Amino acid sequence: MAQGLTKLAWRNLGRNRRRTLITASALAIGTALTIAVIGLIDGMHAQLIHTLTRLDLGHLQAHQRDYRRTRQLERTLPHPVEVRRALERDPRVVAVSPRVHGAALASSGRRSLGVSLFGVEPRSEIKITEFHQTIRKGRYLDDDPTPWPRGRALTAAEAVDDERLTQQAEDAAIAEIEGDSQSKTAATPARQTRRQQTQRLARAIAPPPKRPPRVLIGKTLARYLAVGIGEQLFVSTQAVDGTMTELAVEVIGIFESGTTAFDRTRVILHVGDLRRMLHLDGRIHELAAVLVDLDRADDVALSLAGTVGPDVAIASWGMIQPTIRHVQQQNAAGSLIIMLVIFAVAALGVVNTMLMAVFERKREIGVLKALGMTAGRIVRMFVAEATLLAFFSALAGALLGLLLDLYLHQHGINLSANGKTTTVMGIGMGLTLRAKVTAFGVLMPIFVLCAVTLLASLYPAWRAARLKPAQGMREV
Amino acid sequence: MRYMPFAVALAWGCVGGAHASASLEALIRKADLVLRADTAAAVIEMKVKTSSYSRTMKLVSWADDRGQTKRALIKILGPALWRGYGTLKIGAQLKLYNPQNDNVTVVGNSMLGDSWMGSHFTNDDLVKETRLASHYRFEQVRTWQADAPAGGKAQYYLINLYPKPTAPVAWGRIAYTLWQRAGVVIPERADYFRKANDKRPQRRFEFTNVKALAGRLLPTLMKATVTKKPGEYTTIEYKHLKLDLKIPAGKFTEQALKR
Amino acid sequence: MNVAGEDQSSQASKAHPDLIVRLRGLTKTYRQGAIEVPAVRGVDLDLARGEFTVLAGPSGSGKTTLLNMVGALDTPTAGTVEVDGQTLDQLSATQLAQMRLQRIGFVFQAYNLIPVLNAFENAEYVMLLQGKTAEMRQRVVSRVLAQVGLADLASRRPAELSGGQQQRVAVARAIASAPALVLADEPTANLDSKSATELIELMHTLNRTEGMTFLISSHDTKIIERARRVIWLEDGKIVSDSAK
Repeated sequence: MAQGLTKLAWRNLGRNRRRTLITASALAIGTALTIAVIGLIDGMHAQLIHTLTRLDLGHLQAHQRDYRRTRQLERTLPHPVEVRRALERDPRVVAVSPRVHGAALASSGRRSLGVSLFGVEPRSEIKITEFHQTIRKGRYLDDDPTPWPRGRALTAAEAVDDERLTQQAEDAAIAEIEGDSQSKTAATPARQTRRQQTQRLARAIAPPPKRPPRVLIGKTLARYLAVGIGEQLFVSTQAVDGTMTELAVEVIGIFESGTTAFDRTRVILHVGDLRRMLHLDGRIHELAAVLVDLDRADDVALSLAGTVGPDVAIASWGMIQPTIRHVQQQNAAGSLIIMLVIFAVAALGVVNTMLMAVFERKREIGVLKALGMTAGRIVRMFVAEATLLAFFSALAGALLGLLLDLYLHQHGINLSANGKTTTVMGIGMGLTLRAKVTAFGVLMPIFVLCAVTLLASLYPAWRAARLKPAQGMREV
Repeated sequence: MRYMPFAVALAWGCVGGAHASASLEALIRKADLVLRADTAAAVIEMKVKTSSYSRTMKLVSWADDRGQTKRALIKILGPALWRGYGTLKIGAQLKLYNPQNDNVTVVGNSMLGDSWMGSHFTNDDLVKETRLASHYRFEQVRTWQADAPAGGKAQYYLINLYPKPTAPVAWGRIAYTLWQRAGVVIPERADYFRKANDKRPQRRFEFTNVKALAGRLLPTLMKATVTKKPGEYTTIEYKHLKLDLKIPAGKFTEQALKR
Repeated sequence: MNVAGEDQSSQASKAHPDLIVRLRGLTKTYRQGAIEVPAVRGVDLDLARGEFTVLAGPSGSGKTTLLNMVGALDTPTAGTVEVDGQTLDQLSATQLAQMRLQRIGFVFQAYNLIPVLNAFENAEYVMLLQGKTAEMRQRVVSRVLAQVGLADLASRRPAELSGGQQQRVAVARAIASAPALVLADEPTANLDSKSATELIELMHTLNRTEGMTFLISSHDTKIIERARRVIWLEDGKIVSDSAK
């Protein structure tokens, strides 16, 4: 019986081909557009998440409990070795890399700019982020940190010397305050000696590196500071003990990540070098990890959180950057609305087409009823007709949408009209928005269209079922 | 505002409450006078205690408070790791000198929030010139009699300072305690509240060791604490002070900063 | 549905086992605004199994109305209709549909074939609705199409057939479902003389060979002459009932 209805429904679609084709085209185009929109939105999310996870966060991070909130230098990760081992042992974790963060003023010549210092372990960091792939000039960091002798405490004799030097400086200052004319003449040579001796003591406590530490900087920063490969810039930052460190560093690589914030403010250097600059010894701020499955990051974070002790916070990229979830949710709601609007229009078309069909076939419906077709079967026949129409339109539309998606995936939409990247919630989007093709994004509109059409056909079908057989006869 | 970074205050100087409400104006003005001079120079000992380190530094400060542009220079006298570091303030501009690599850094906006020499003061504290009189209105909370630190009975005043609507200031309220005795007014404590009705202050300055120095009776030790970081403090103590002196020419230049 | 239908018939047929149609006091009145127009007025009629009866009378005499009520397409204003032992006024719309589907075959004046289905599929359609198997449909429809002389035109659509051919398909559709009763409403009215004669012969043959009961409304003299029993209607009343 079902096949009888389907056959009749199918044949009925062929009756007014032009009308069927127009309605089908509308449904197909609606489906294709919906699929393309969903593809672009999914593509945007994928790009946002990619930028976020593969240029910055990784999939998972471990910090000291309060670090993310306060970003204070002294809040370093407790038991970094154990936490790293715990992460690496987990089969869901692909790679782990330690990091240190700092803020600094980078200057070259007369120009200076606030930058963020990003200390990484070069060998393991390439498994987390892709900065090494975005290097446009020069090269990536060396595996080993800059040779940098360790400092030592002053000897007793040196300590006495130091106190004496302080006393001398104080005496000289008081003499100057009191306007002692005699001190003025004697001051200069004494000051020179003090300076040399101070230098010697300071270098014993905090020796400078053997050569300028090597850094990677973004293209925008390089242009702003007018520095090229092999050239130096000054980085001044405050160490964890409050001392100011000013250090010359050498640019060995210039990257272009496509994300404005990184290209403009990020200075990447060896984690060991940054630790020395910030006087952090063996401490780190962060362990970043990449997982087998990025979508399971929340679960992994939650399950690992229990194993690393209360001082350590483990968070997924989504927990660290919840805005992206909000964007995702908003866009999901947005695409649902787009889909419903498109399909509501489609549904109106279906209702119209089916009502016309019912009106045209009043007599035939009467005959079918006279022959013994029940109201239920008549409803089913019209619903089948609409659903068939929707299903094949949706299939065609899905094919078209898939092609559109693939085109938008291949070629993308250029977001950088003037070479500037677009950001969404402060997260860089890259230069091109590419559609992402997902099974869900293609199948969902098909399903929704069929469901909407099925619902939309109920009213005309009910109208048809209400016709009396005798009425049908009388039209004869 | 001179009461804030005390040593620095002395170095920077400040404008008094010229237009304060009549009765309180005199008090504020007198408290101002205690720490005020056209020019000042001092040798200071600064102690910083934090959860991760504690250190003691000697420093010399020079300040010229005359004219529109307040100028000041601070040089660290010791110990070795910081000896020769300098800070030069000309108006709202701040320059830091590092003798290790002979480099002068102009403090940009991004560094204003950084701690100054590892203390509980920020670079911003040094630059900002909040004028009590023009930016705040005064309201006496209460007044009472008590023993003064310098001996004898003194009249104490607790005064709330509220920012005027358009004042470019970070605080919602300052609770200022001072005492008066024999015509001398001495500040004792200032609590800084982020919002006017906050229960706990964000930070507190306490002025103690009142004694005669440079011919005046004044508090010679100031302690700054931050409520959020219990156990941490920065103290500043005058070891030597001279007011209204003749400051050597070229003191507030980059050459002097580097010298 | 099918099984239930048969149960009812077997129970009911005990009352009048030999009668396929039994009408008592059958009355139908249409309303046209405030005026009541009587179409059928108190008709009593019995049809035995295997009869070939023509309902004759001028236009507006109530033939079609009577036929519609017998065919469970219309409900009487008063009186009872029993078809194959089943009293129709107690049945729901669905049960009426079942009754038409299982027990009655229809042949309409305007053929009323389903335009999107070919001859075979049209003839098959009622069987399809009855839920008969594909194998059985194939067998029965092939046979009835051969009986109505259209075996060669099985794959043609109604638009590709002449009026006579279409009406033969309609007959094939009516008899393929093996109804107890075939109702035909002016079946030759739209046909030329030759086609009409052929159709009449076809129906007689079916009546003879298959024992199928026919009730035909017509004012076609060719049909009336050939009928064994002719019932004349005028103004909704039986004025004569003559059997040859």
